[in-house]
Order: sequence, then structure tokens, then C-alpha cells
Amino acid sequence: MTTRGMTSALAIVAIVSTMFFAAGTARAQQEPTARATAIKITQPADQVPAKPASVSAQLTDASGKALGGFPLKLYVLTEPFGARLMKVAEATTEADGVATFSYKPTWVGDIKVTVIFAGTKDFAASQSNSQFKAVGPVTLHRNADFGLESIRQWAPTVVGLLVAAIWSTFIVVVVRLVFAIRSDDAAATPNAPRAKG
Amino acid sequence: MTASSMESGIREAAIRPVLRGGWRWWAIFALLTVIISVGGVAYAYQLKDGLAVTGLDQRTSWGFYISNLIFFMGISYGAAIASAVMRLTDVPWRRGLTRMLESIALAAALAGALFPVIDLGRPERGWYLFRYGQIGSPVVWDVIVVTNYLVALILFLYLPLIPDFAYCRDQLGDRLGRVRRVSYRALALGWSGQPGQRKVLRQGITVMSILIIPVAMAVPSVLAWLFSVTVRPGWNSTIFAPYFVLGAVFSGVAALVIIMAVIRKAYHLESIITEQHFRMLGYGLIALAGAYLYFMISEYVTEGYKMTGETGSQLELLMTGDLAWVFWLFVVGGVLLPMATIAIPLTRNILGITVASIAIVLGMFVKRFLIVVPGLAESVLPTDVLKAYEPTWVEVAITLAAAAAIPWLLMIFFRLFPVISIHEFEAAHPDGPPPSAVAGVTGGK
Repeated sequence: MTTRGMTSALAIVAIVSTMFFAAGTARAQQEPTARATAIKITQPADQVPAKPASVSAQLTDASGKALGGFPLKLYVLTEPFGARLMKVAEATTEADGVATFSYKPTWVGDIKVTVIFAGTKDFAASQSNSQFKAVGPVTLHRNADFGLESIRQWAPTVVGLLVAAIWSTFIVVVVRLVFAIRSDDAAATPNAPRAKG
Repeated sequence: MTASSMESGIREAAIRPVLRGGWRWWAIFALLTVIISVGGVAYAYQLKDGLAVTGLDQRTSWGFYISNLIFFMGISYGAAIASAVMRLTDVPWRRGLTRMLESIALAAALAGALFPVIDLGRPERGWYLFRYGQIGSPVVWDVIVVTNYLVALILFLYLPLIPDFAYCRDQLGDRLGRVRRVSYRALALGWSGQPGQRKVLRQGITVMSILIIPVAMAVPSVLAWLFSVTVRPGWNSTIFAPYFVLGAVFSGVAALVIIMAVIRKAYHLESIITEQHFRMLGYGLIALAGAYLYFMISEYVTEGYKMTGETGSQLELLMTGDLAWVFWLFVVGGVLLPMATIAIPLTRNILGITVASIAIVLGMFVKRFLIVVPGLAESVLPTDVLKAYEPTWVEVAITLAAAAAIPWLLMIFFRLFPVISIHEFEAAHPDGPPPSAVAGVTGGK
């Protein structure tokens, strides 16, 4: 590449960089400073696994004023594949700033929850942590939740029909054979040579 | 050998055991009766004193008895499925085998079906299954499929027997006692070998051959679900049903080889049951052993990779723990060595294939024990520990009695009807003088 060519390329890079920087500065100047927010979580004391637990969180600004109409997300700390937050529910705050989540614990022990407000241009993001205990019998799989309960209603009929079909086949085979043997035997004349059988 | 002399030989060989037993027959029959009687005494003792006389307890409530149920029923539906498949595919070498397979299937089913009752301890409570049983329970499913299977099996055995009963009725005449003459007359249903009768019989056998396959497969499948619908370690598996079906056919074919070897020698059927029969079944056994190994590896690899909770410790128990010697004895002695014995041309003969089959049957008995007992011995409570199960003499005596009951029943069966289907050999050689045709001319009902 010639010296002239290199000079041209550097000039283009400089112009494009200046344009991006200027656009970013202008955007930053347009955004007002976001107000701080806070989240207060209310959770059950103890909870039975697989039963819906009601976790609520109130979103307020720095002065304690309730903020309604904002989305909050509920995360649970899971550890089987390394500690990580798993999103389990999402709700919008009411006029009193409270959002209520329904969450079913799936193990026995401490359930560590985190509620996160992602923030807007007016309000800064915030989050809060809390925990409660899941105790009692582990009944993780309830048939009704997966639609298997309905099987109980029609399964006996299907089994009954299948068994009836099998027994009908037995009866048809035997009756048909008995009739065929009796009728053929009656039709055969006593002195006629009989077929191979 | 001409077709007519061959058929004459077949008829004589098939009928010989029906006419006379001989002292060897009576000696073996007496020995088996003694073994069965000892089992009967043991069961009476268990009835009197309860299941406390066995090694069973609150934890290991299924021991030898349920292992035996799976084992004997497995032999039964394995034999039934093998016979049905042979009939439907019409393999030419099946004619000497199907009667034996169907008889083994019925004898093993009768022996195996007793074990749920024996395991109850209070057998009169078996009635509660019918009175209070719920369709959601796999135990009720088991009662339904086993009942269907037993009826299907009796029909499956009986239909091809009709022409042979007619042969006995017409040809054996005065050489039989009055009771047997009357019985053959009734069981032959008036068969005279008319084309219409043969057509309907052929259709009936085909229908039953098709029907017996799903009906028989339902039995090991439901038995497998009886285990796998629980969350017990070692039982909580999705492949148990096909695994049980495959194991059943594997042990059923091996049992056929053993019984075939004994019957061939005892009833002098060397010209009918040839080395080719053993070789063909041997090839089948290699294929079945390979498939069984594949299922077993698939089962243990998926469990072993995760090694979760009790399932992991269960696997350790089998692979490297207290039961490792039993498990590896099964793998090497019950699967790999028999495969090698049949695969090597030097040992691929009647003796080699029979010895391999004995190893397979014993190995499959051990495998059923390894499925049933460790799953129960493993504690699922944090406060409890692994508990060993040891069968007592009562369970051993009852198990031996059931094992003796199969040849005992077969000996009775082959005194009542021909060990080889004369009718089917006749159908395979239409140019020869069919015995039933002779029967039709010379005799009536």
C-alpha cells in the first residue's frame, strides 16, 4: 500500500470514530439521571415442596414512594450445575408497588430467592435477596399437573375392551373350529375315502 | 429313507412314549415326584408358621419367590413367542420343535404362576385382588395378563393337537384304557381330516400364533412395570419391559435346547431332532445374548454415568461390592462363555450348545435374583443400611420343586399326546401316507 493510500485510510477511520463518539455524547447528554429504587421481599416462613408459594416484593423509590406498573422478575439460586440464578416468575407491580409471584419449590431445604428490577430511564435498576425453607414430604410429581389424571377415567374402559377383544377371539376360534369339524364330519359319507388331515 | 418310511418312523417315535413308559421313565418320574413332595412339605410348613420361616422380611419382601415367578414365566413366554414366530415364518425345521415349545410354555407357566400365591404367605388373601383390586395397580394388571396368557397358551397348545388326538383315538384303540379312549374321543372333537376342517384349523392356529405374541409379551412387560413404576434403586428404569421380554426369549430358547437334548435322547428321536436344530437355535442364542448384553450395557452406562443417590450405590454393589462376584459370574458364565462356546466351530455341536444353554438358564436365574433382591435390600431411608437377604431351606425346597415340576409335567404331557406333531410332519410331506387319512378310513370317532 502506498503512503498516500495509508493516509486516506487513517483519515476515514478518524472521521468515523469522531462521528460515533459525538453521537454517544449527545445521547448521554439527553438522558436525565435515573432515580434510585429499592425492593422489599415478603416470603413465607416454611413451605411444602410442590405447593405454590406466594412471594411478594414491593418496589419503592429512594423516598419510599411505591412504584406501580413496573415489571419485576423472581429468580431462585440453583446449585446442581454450579450456583446460578434461575428465573422462575415475572409480575408487574400494582399501584401499591407490590408484585406477587407464585412459585413451587422443587426441593427440600433453603430456597434462596432474588427479585430484580431491570430499571428504566427514570428509575435505576435494583435487586434484593431473601430466603425461606421448604420442608415436609417431597411430592414433586402430581399427576393432575401433567394431565395424567384423566387417564384414570378412560383407562379401565380401554383395558376392558382389549381383554374383551382377546377373549372374543378365543371364543370365535374355538366355536368356529367346533362347528367346522361337526358340519364337515356330518357331511362326509361313512364309506367315502377321507382327505388327508 | 422314503417319505412313507420316514413318516412311519415319525409316528412310531411320537407315539412310543404315549403307549409305554418303561422303568427309566418311572424312576425319573418317581424322583421328580419326591422333589415336588419335599417342596409341598416345605410349603405346608410355611403355611403353618407363616413367612417367618423364609428369609423374607419387611424390607426384602420379594426374594426367591418373585425371582422364580419372573424366571419360570420368562421361560414360558419365551418358548411361546419362539413357537409362534416359527409357525408364522413357517421355518421348515420347526416341525420337530413347536409341540415341545408349546408344552414347555404351558408347564413353565403353570409352575411360575404359583409363585405369587406362595409369596403371599396367606394365600386366601389372593381373593382380595379380585374383590378390592384397583385398575391403577400393576398387580391387578398382572392378574389380567397372566389369566389371558394361560387361556391363550392352552388354546395354542390344544389346536395343533386335535388331529393328533384323532390319530390316538383311531390308531391306538384297544392298546389304551377306557378312560384314555373316551378322553381322546372328546378331545379330538370329531376330527376326520376333511379339507374344510383342515382349513379352519389352519386359520385358527394362525390367529392364535398372531394373538399369542402380544398376549405373551404383555406378561413380561407388566411384570417389568411392576418393578419400574416404583422409585426403587435399580428398578427405576424405562427399558425394563423390552429388557424382560428379551430376557424371556433368551432363557426360553435356552430351556428348549436343554429339554430338546433330553427328549431326543430319552425318546430316541435322533432322526427327527438333528444337530441342525441345535445349531439353528444356537445361532439364535448368540443373537439373543448379544441383544441382551446391549440392553444391559445401555442400562448400566446411563445409571453409572450419573451415579445418583441409591442408584449409584446399587450399581457399586453389583459392579464392585458384595454382589460383584454374582454379577460377574452371570456376565461371564451366563452370557459371554455360552456365546463363545456356540460361536467356536469345535464346540458348536449338540453337547456344546446344550452345556451353553444350561449356563444361560442358570445365569438368567441369577440375573432375575440380581434384579429383584438388591433393589429391595438397598435402603431408601437415611437412617437405614443395606440388609442382606438369604433364602432359607423352605424357599430353596419350593424353588427346586417348581424346577422339578416342569420336566414332571412334560413327562405327563408326553404320556397323553405325541411329543412330535404327527399332523404337521404329514402336512410337510403330502405325498406320503398321512396317518390321519388312515385314521379316517379305519376308524370313526
